[in-house]
Amino acid sequence: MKKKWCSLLLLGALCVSMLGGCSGSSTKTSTTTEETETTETTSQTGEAKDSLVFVNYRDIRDLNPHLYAGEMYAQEMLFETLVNITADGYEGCLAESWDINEDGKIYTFHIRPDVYFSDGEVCDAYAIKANFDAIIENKDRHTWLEMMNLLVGVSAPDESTFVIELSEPYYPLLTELGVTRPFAMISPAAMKDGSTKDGVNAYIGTGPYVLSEFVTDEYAIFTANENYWGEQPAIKEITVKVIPDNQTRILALEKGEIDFIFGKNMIDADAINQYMDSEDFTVALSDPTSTRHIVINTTNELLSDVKVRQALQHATNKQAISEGIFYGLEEPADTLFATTVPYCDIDLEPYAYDMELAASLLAEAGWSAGSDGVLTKNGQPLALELLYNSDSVTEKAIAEYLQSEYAQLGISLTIHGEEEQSYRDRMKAGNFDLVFNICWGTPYDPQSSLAAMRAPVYGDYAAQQGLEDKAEIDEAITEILVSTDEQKRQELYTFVLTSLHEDAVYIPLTYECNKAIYRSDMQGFHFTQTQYEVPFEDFYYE
Amino acid sequence: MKQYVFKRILSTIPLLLIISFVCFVFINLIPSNPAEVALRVRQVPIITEEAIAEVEAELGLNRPFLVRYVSWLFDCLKGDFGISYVNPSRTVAGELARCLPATLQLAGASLVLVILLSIPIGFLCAVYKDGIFDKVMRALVFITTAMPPYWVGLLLMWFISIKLDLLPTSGGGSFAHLILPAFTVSLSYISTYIRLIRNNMLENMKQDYVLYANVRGLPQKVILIKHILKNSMHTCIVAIGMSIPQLISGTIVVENVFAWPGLGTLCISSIFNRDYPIIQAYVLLIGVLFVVFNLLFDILQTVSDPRLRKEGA
Amino acid sequence: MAKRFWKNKTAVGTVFFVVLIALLGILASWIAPNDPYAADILHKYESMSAQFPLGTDHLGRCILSRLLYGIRPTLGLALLTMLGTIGIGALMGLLAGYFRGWVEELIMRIVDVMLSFPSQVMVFAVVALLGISVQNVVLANVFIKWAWYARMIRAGVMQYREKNFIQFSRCIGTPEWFILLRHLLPSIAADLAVLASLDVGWAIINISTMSFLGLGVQAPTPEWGAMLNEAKNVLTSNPSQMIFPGLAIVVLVSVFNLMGDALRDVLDPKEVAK
Repeated sequence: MKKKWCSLLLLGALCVSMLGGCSGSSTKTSTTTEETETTETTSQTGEAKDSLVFVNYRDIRDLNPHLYAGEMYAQEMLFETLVNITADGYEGCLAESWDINEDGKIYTFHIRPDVYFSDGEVCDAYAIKANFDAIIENKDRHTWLEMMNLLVGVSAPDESTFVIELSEPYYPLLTELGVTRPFAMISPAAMKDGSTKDGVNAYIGTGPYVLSEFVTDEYAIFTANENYWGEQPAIKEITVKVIPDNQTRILALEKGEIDFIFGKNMIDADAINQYMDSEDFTVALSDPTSTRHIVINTTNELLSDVKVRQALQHATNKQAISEGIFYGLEEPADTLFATTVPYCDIDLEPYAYDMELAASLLAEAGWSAGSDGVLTKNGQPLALELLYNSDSVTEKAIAEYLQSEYAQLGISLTIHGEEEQSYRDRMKAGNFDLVFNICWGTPYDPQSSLAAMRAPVYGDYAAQQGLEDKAEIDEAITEILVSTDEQKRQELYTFVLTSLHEDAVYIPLTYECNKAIYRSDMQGFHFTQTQYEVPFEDFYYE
Repeated sequence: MKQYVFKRILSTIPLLLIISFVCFVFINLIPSNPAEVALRVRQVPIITEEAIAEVEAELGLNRPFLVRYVSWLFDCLKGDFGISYVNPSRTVAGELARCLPATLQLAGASLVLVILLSIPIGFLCAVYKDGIFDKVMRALVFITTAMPPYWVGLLLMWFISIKLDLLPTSGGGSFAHLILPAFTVSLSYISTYIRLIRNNMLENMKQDYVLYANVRGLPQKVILIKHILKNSMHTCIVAIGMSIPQLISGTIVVENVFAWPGLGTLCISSIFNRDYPIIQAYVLLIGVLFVVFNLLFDILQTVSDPRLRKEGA
Repeated sequence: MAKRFWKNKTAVGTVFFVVLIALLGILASWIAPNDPYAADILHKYESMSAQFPLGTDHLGRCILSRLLYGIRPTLGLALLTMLGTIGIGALMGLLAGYFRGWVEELIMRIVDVMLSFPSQVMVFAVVALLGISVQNVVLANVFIKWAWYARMIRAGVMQYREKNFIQFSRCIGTPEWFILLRHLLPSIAADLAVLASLDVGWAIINISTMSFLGLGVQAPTPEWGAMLNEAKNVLTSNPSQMIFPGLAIVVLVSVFNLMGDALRDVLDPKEVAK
């Protein structure tokens, strides 16, 4: 009869859980939660915490610092560059200092002595030269960096001197050297025969952390680099869990399974609102980093008409998106680049939200109402697809909102979500009608983002192919990058930005910002100039 | 007997071939060009028609269809299913190997739950037929068959994990993570098997041997457990065994609800990302598992049941 | 038979309920209090009110209106799937059971192969191949399920084909199609009706599952599974979003299951007598 009792017990459990699923909250629930909370806090105060659990929506992937397939926050932890970009300019990193010759074509870097890779190899000018050689070998991959096209050569005359020679003076060089990739240094011992374009043997850098363990799509553990040349970080161990789902991330934070969420698209506005007044968690919002916008593919037959593109601009209610979806956390955007971006404070007339104007533009373009409420022209319906990144927490909601808004005009918008990687692949291949995109943000805007429009690096190249003035725009961008005259540069920027604005290729939505929620006992958090970098080395617990 | 088993094994070979052929046709019907993918893998910045033609020749994509099928089949037998279209640095076999254990774990836990819950409940329902317990259980069974598993999952997640904060909401890892998904998966099977066992036992109760046992004056408990339950168990175990592949494929939805890092999550995200080689390998794997389990339990049943053994020979 | 039907309260009740739901769906545009597509993003997640009897969703759309409009795809597609499945299944089953010989051999071998794949996975494979859309989900469901019905109906036909009245019919030279349509089909109609109503419940769950995963009905069409997909995203902050669409599915599927059982009693007098 033992069996009978067992089954009765199990049955009881089943019944309780079943009934429980239907009933509302009870007094018992709240006491349980309180109990767990108090036990947690007591256990935490006992020990000095020097570990941190971070979260990301996907795996760290290939961290090869000379390619673009890895997660940038992780590359920033492991690898370092010659210079760092700060709020007020540049500061030395692997190079202690540098000189620029009079005509601006030769940069001489004085390499920091006694810096070692985490495998014991020395990081001197020769190692840096080896890195540059490996990067230059794969030059085609880095054409978005204009310096690649202007590079005459690199050399290491002695172990503490590294020289870069350019064919033209190029003002954003230090920025390009300071961004996360590709000019980050990996131990020459980790390269495959001095080359990195086909992968590396190990992710060995000079940074404050080393990658000590990882399980694909589950977690990665970073520990402090004991031989780090700079100050030792207070947090000795960082675990990064992979949690693709927004709700799950927030629950994990709530339950203390993770300590910290960071990113532009990692937390939705509802969650931020929820934690605004919380004592256990602190919410931080950065200044606007970049513009959230939609790219219109001008090679699409329907979208090649500038009137249709302008109609879409006027039909987009940025104010409602800003308030309704972001609760005002992200301000509505009027132009592709915010006026605070260098060279972008120019006088552009924003496309105001005006459904009537949008409708009349469509009518002018020859579209008339069809039988099922969708506009048609020559028997063809005005049907478009908007591609969104399903890893982003807000793009789907914006897409659904726009779908209902555009439907009022008679535009049939289907929305389709794909995960980050395939979304990017499709964007790059120009395989879309409308697609969500972000500006590259600081420090890439505007020079690198614009430079990249000239080659199939990103969606912009494909999207702009249908523009009549595409050649002119490209020419002007090239000229900007090598011009030394400040006024000339501004004129060219004004021309490019005005043309793109009038061509109505980009629908700006909001100025997005980096968002973070972390345990309130964690200190030292701040946002950096490089928007993807998480300053783990500055964190500590109270 | 041996002859039967041998024949049965041989008869699955054409079936396996058909399954593999269907899977191969599948990947050939889709619009994406493997040569283009290969070029992307090599991070070639600009993909031209000539480059595609070159790679096609290199990969042997211009060979006749059947030749490609045979070489693909041999690759599969060697465990080489190609590379993922979306994450070219990962092999399909590696992805499957990474996710399979989690799925097996979930399916295994669900199976244990199914057996632990459905047999005693079904037994009690049959013994106390039309009693309160039987009626309550039948009502519950009725409702659970009408509940979509994903909704059950959401309700459990909300109530057990969020409201009561007893178990982790989702993700993989510890034993605690396993409980809710396993229960959700098993729920729809439990109701099926409760019904099966109950009806089977009621059938058995009417059999002559039960009457005979009663006449012999055996205690009721002994008759119920040693005779009726034992006989019913036999059918049920075979039925449950046959449903193991169903269970494995049935985890697909629940895995997605609970973000369980198994094959189901992999499969759905591959569908969204059009990562066809992974979908192909997944379908092939489940198809083969299905056939193999059917074969295994069919043989097991024949071997264990004297009546069928005779027929088989 | 009609008399037995009216006597069976469950049968009458469930059929009446299904008709009522269908009418609500058909008349949704008159009954629904609001436009189910009208987004008002500044009034999202509102609680119940006179204007929005069940509150609003993440885009500020009326949940009740979306539930009512959602009857159309939810019930409509399930019925469509059921008709397709039973249609093909019955045809194949009839042909196989009646003609025997190579026709049967061919059909049953195909059925065997179909059944050797786990159905759930096949649905996903078909959708992956044909693309994510609701037509493909219906197609996939019909494609994987017909074999089950073909097998069951064949078994039913086998029972009848040796019966005296059919033997007699054949002896007096009645055309084959006449025997199939006028004798065999009515004989298995009872089985078909029961299968059909159980199948609708199954189809509702299956199609809503696909929509829940984002592989079926696409936004902005209101479908109950798709509504639950949206609700899942706000499980922590607005858990009440998942209540009504889920309840709606459970009730409708239960009713179809009940109807199946009741119809079996009505149509099969022997069972009742037992």
